[in-house]
Amino acid sequence: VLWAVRLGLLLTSDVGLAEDHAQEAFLGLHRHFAEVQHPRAYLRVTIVNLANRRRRRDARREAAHRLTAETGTVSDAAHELFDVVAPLPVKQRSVIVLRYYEGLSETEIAATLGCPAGTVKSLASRALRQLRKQIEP
Amino acid sequence: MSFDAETLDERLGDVLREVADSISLATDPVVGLRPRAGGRPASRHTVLTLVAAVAAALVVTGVWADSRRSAPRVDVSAGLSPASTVPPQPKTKGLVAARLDLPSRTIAAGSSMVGRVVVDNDTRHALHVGGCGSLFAVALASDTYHPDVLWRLCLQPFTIPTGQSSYPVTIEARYLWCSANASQAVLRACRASGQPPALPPGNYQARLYQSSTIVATPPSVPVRVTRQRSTP
Repeated sequence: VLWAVRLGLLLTSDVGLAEDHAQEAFLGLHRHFAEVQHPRAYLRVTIVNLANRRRRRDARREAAHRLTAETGTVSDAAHELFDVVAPLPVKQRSVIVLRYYEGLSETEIAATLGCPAGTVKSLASRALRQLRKQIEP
Repeated sequence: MSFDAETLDERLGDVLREVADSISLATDPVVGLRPRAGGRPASRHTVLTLVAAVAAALVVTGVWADSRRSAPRVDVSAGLSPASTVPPQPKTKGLVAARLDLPSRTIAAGSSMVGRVVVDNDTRHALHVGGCGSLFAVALASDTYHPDVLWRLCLQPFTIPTGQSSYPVTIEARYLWCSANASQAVLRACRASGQPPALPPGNYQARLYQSSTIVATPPSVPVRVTRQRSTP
């Protein structure tokens, strides 16, 4: 459960939403358990899809989310970098989280996002270029 | 910025883990986080209730697909050669260490072997831990394949006695999961037998997985998966 909520947090910057997405993912798993033989992958895909859907909806009416953490919970340095990751376009952010947090390969990320591996490569490249641009003085 | 573009690649993983670890089920996940403006109250209890229900359903129906793992038995000798034993990790402050004993460093794709996890409990008292079905599992992983080892969600009491005890584990040279529905893009299709397909030949690491953190993770053991044996 904690893993699912944490993944959701990295994708949404919002604990409440992360919990909701985890809950919905587990509900889906419960409903489809007979057909699902890879529960963790199922949960991961569901959480990523829910976060992406939500993000696209929110993007129309508000600025990018900021992680709302008290000082001390997350170091300033981590906060700084995460604040640069959070506004990335939804698919780029997903690729960064799946690659650097989940440790997935390009093929696995492609399977999770339902896109070709080449697309994952270019999304990662664009995201890293954008991040470097943001943090360079 | 307190870091530069050069170190970005290295820092990203650390930062994401730090942010993710800022929430914990040990405390209310909202603690340490400012409430969202106009946000809903946290629904952690709903999540937990749901997960408990899912877990109960899985246990009752017995549909969780990792029944291949054996239940732990203490001091079981599986007739294994110590040749594949990896020296235990330096003892942690809890004085509980583990090592993996495998009967062989090679395995044919699609086949399995029985190894054991040997635990040295030098704490002078038995350890009472919770698990479900078994405490340990060993799976083959590689740079490109990271097995999703999952555990049944139930709580059974286990006791790790003082001294040395061992726990049989089955190592399979096949994927852990598959889909009966081939249209599911995230999963490999099951074989006609219903089993997951064999791992491709190559170099892997046998890694210890625990239902909860019981011992310091011992070094993984290199295992080579060879071509599948042809069936006559």
